[in-house]
Amino acid sequence: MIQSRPRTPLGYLPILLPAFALIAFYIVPFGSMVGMSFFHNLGGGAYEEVFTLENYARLISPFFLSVLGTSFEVAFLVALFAIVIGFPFTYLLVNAKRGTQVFWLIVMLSVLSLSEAIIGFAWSTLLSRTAGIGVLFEALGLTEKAQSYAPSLGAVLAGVTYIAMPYAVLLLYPILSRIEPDIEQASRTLGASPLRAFFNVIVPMHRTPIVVSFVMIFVFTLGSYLLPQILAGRPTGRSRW
Amino acid sequence: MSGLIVENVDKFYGTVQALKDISLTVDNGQFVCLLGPSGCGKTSLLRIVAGLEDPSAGRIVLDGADITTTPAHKRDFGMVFQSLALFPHLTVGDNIAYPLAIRGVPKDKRRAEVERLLDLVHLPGKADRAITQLSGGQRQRVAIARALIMQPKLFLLDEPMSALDAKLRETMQVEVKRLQRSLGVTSLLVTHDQREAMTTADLVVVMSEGKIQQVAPPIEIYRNPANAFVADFIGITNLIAGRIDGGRFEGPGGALTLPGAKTGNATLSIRPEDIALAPQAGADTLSGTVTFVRHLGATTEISVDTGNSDHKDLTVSLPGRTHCPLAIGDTAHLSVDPAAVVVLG
Repeated sequence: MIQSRPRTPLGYLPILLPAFALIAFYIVPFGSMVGMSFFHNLGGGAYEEVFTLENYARLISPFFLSVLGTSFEVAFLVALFAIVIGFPFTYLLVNAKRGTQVFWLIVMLSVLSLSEAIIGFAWSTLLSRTAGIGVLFEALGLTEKAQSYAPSLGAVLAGVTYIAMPYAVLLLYPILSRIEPDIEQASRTLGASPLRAFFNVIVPMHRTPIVVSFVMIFVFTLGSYLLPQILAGRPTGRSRW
Repeated sequence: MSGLIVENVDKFYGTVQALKDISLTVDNGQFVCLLGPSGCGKTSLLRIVAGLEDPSAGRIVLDGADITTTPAHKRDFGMVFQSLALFPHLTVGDNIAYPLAIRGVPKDKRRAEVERLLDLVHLPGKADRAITQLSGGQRQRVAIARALIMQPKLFLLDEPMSALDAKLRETMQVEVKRLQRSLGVTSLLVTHDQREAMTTADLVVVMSEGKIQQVAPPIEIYRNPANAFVADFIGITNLIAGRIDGGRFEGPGGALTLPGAKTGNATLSIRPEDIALAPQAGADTLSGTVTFVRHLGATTEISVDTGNSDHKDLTVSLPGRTHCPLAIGDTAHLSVDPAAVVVLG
């Protein structure tokens, strides 16, 4: 690391631009929001400059705490699904042929290129009563009558997991592609079936990357807004995740 | 029939044939070494025996039972990999106990077995260490202990010593051989290091280009190589092409009497230490110009250009304390003990 200080005040010039950007676009708006949170809310975005703690009182009310709880619950479940599906998938992927790997990585990246709104409407159509998988289930005789699966918590979980999956795969891919094939083969010669080798050696060996990916997807999902809007409906008109 | 039998095994990778009709018998308790240059198919053969790869044709038979299609985890073999493949998230003890844990052996019994194995590989009291705390040689021992804890029917080693430095490697070779002899476990070792093969093996299988070139005890391989490849690959030898007529060999640099040798074109293999200096040219000497003299301490090596066909100088190895009157440019006369000459077809 280079550890020399600029000798003249002019030497500090290069950091002025990022410092300015940081202050203008991050610290000032964030500060004004924090300031505003202490003012009386008139609704509709308007406020009155009177100091009050009523907004914070509302935050810790049972209603908002339950909304917050739902957010955490959804984020937790999505992170869990993304890892549970993504880890074995990525493990199979790194052991696949080069062409197969490239194909699936491109598929994963193209999911990321889709706008969240498009994904949301696609899922809501897919889960709808008239044009969705409900029709398929009816045709297959699995259900008596086609029904709608959205809006529901399940629909949100499916949609958000769909978006989180590519992140899980892209986070795990570089780590899993570095394991020596010898490790899995060694456990097989020592008496473990391929499935047991996976659960007894490969998974525990990667517990740190698994936890890191889980936390990253959890945090990323916590702030998701649009998909829950589309797929969960708004039965009370105010609830949002 | 007890032991391992490899029967007419072929292996193709795409259109490349890595193994060509390999047949091999390993008796119980024997230590067999697959020796050859890289790409000769020795590792493929070991992996087929281990069940990690399927042969394209042929059978693997163990103690009379055909195990060709038995998956690796049901063969009950112990294998040591080139990379060792120790599990980084487990302690030394848990690594060694892994085969027992898989088979549901209770914890206290596992513990006792691990202690026994650690004593066997001279690592007592290291059960609770992390793998990362061990040196290369110690990791080696852990991998060996892990492969042996199940008292495997077959102990497979895939060049496990190649990552160690030269001195440690020799120590480990002797130790592996001692361990194998005391346990009596049937073993198959893959190596490209002929010293390793000579140290450990009861039987050496020399392979080249997917074929077995010779199967014999180490000293037999050295003294009576079956062909020019084996002669050249095992140790250092001088290959001299010429013609035998009526028990006399005529080649570059002179002639040699070889009683009873078949008439025809022949290549002789003569080890450097079987050649001596003669005071003058005679009926049974080869002569040439000295091109290099190396005083190596234990031996003195002299390179002699006798006009050999592929411009390869003959190498003569004299015991280190023998007086060597020759210098570069001198003419050397070489005598050879006919009993030490191997005539290759």
